Amino acid sequence: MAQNMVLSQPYVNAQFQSPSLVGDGQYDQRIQSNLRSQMFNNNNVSSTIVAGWDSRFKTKDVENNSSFGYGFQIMSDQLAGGLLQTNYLTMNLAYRIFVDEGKNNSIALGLAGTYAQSTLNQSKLKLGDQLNTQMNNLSAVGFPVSDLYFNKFPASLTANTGFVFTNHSENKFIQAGAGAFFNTIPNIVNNVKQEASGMRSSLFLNSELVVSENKTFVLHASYSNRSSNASINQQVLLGGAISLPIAYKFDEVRRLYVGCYYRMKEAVIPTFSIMMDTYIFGISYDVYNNNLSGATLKQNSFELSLSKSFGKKRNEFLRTIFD
Amino acid sequence: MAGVSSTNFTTNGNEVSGEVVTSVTLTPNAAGLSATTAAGASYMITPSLAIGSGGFLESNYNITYTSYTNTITKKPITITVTSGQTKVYGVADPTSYAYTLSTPLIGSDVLTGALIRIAGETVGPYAISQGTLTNANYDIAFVANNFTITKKPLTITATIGQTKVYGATDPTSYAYTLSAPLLGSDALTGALTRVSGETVGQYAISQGTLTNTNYDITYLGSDFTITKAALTIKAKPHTIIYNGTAYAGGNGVIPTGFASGESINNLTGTLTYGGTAQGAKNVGTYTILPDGLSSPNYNINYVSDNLEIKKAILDVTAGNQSVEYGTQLAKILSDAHSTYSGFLGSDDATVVSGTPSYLTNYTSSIPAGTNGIFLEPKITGLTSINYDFVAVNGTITINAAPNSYFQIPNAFVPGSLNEFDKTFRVFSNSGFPSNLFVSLSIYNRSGQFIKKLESITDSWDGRIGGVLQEADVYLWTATFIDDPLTKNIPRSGTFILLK
Repeated sequence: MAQNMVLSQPYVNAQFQSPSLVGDGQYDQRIQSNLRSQMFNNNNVSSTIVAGWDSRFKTKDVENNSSFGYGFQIMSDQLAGGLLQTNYLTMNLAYRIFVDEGKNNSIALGLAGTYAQSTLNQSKLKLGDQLNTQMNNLSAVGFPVSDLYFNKFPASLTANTGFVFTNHSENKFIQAGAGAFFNTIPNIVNNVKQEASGMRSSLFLNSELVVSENKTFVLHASYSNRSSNASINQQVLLGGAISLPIAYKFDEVRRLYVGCYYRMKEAVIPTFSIMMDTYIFGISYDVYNNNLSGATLKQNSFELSLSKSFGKKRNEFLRTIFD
Repeated sequence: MAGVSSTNFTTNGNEVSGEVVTSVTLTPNAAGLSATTAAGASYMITPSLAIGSGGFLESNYNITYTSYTNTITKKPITITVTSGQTKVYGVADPTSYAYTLSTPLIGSDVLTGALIRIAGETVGPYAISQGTLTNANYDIAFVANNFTITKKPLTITATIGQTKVYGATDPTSYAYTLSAPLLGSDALTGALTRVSGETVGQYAISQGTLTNTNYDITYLGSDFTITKAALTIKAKPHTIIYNGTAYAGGNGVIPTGFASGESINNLTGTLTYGGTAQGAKNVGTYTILPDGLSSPNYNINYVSDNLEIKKAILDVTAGNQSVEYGTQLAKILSDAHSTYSGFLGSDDATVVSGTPSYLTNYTSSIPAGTNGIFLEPKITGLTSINYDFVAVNGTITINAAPNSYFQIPNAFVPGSLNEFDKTFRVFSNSGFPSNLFVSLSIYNRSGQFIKKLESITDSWDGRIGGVLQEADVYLWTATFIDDPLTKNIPRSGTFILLK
């Protein structure tokens, strides 16, 4: 949500949603990852990999009402069949304060720094002046293109921030947050006038409630938009899931999640997830319903997600798919 | 004692003619009367009582009887050593050597002492001398003879069963046994010998020079046997590449066990080969077993080794294709075919099972004239017992299709100084009717519509509402009119906004 890249299961990747969520897991540590591939008429639009690890500074003082979370996240977004690949490394820090004695409610503020580095595969590049030369049967086409000078090492360093409120108890999890992100693809070309892409802001809501006999209902909603962009770049994801318990104990929580999400003006996303103790595995498929949808156009997106928690479980609150 | 003697007297011859003293009585004195009187003693014999013929009467004569006196002499006797006295070598001499006397000794006379012989214990004659054998009353004449030491009988038996392997050297000596141990430090000199010869067979062992002069050797011979040597003739392994023909023969042999200086040329017969390799044709492992050689001097053991026929190489060459720009990959693959080259013998394509699938770097968006587009036959689906496959790529020539008179970039750079790069647009072949282009629609990666280009000169500068969009991937769909202007052909693709 924070970057140009799109995930169909962003809610299972805390650091992807907001830097304020690092250290928010029920266990000491966790690894969360997503793998997504988007195809359009046999053209590879994007291949996205997101993987992060986060934890928090431990405190022996159970009465301590605050904690620091920290983590890092690696993202790789390969576009147009490998024509352009951008890798991101983000370091996240969050400060969390519990606002009630039962530690059911907390607010957290997160800060992050992102280092991005892009690689342009010039051997695959087919610019207009090349085609013009070819179409008009001119002499050989080659690189570098006369008026372009590609950065040899396109890279950027940007900052992100986020805020989140969480209400968490034995049978309820409600989380709402907001974020601001400045990271984008680094400048590839260095002799054109650059225009800042502006700040991307995001809002999100994560909720999982026990409805009966440990069955839960999941609700996720998120919104993001680049401030300087037109409304077509707004992303709205809304959906929910029902979970059926397989086992439910303190350290043994096993549920099947069956859900459906809708990325507005784009796709309906059936999702199937399974929580097996400290593992959460999810698979989703985007059924496109956008401006490109048509009988002769094939759009496919698959996404796999896998989370693994480590260490000691810190409370008996509801273990959720957002953990 | 007195006696009448007609001979042991003489007369002076004064008898009357016609008368003759014919006998007298001789009377010895006491010495003369004893036969055992020692030699050298004196005695006297007195005549009396002469008796005559012709009318002789003692009374007619005044007869003077004259006594005879003399000394008793030694009695001559001859000791003759008994001939033929012997002993066997190693046996003790007899306590005395035998002899005979020419006459018996008188009375109780005995000879004292003993014969002796020349000292010596080896085989040979040794003269027996009188030694100390004597008697003072006898004048002994000695006739010598030899005492002979004869050889001791000894049987030498050559040990039965002495052998050697053909090609080996003989033992330093041939073994034998003796019927009895040799005496003392005696030893045999010399050695047994055998009939010469080095080929396999039996050779008589003879006494040769083995001897000892003190023994009378009886030799019992036996045979020395030269047995066949073990010779291993092992086939050399042979590895060949499948050639479509039946295998015959072998790859030579490796003999081990030949005697020094000998080789396979010392064998008779002709080397032949058997085993499962004979007639083998297909890839596999077979046995080559040599045979056909013989020799009286060797026991030949034939050992097989393997013939390995390895797969030959068969080139699988994808057929070249010449297609129009935009041809779908599925058609490329469905039209793909391969030819085989490298069949051997009478083989043909029927020996290959399966059909190749194909791998290509072709995509329908690759522009016409692009080089290096290949079609690779994937040989993993092919099987043949006698061939390995090598894929040889075919080439795909992309020709300008009717709608490839238009080409679309996969990136553009808003703000570029190059007029062809600064916007996203459709490029057309110069001179081609631009009205064949219908439209091109641009979407962001979420499929949200951005802009539609409705003429060949239309373009997108990367902005929406004046705001430059992010560097990102975008999608497009386009519609062209195919020659001869009867069919709309949708196309699609992606591009990158670079900045």
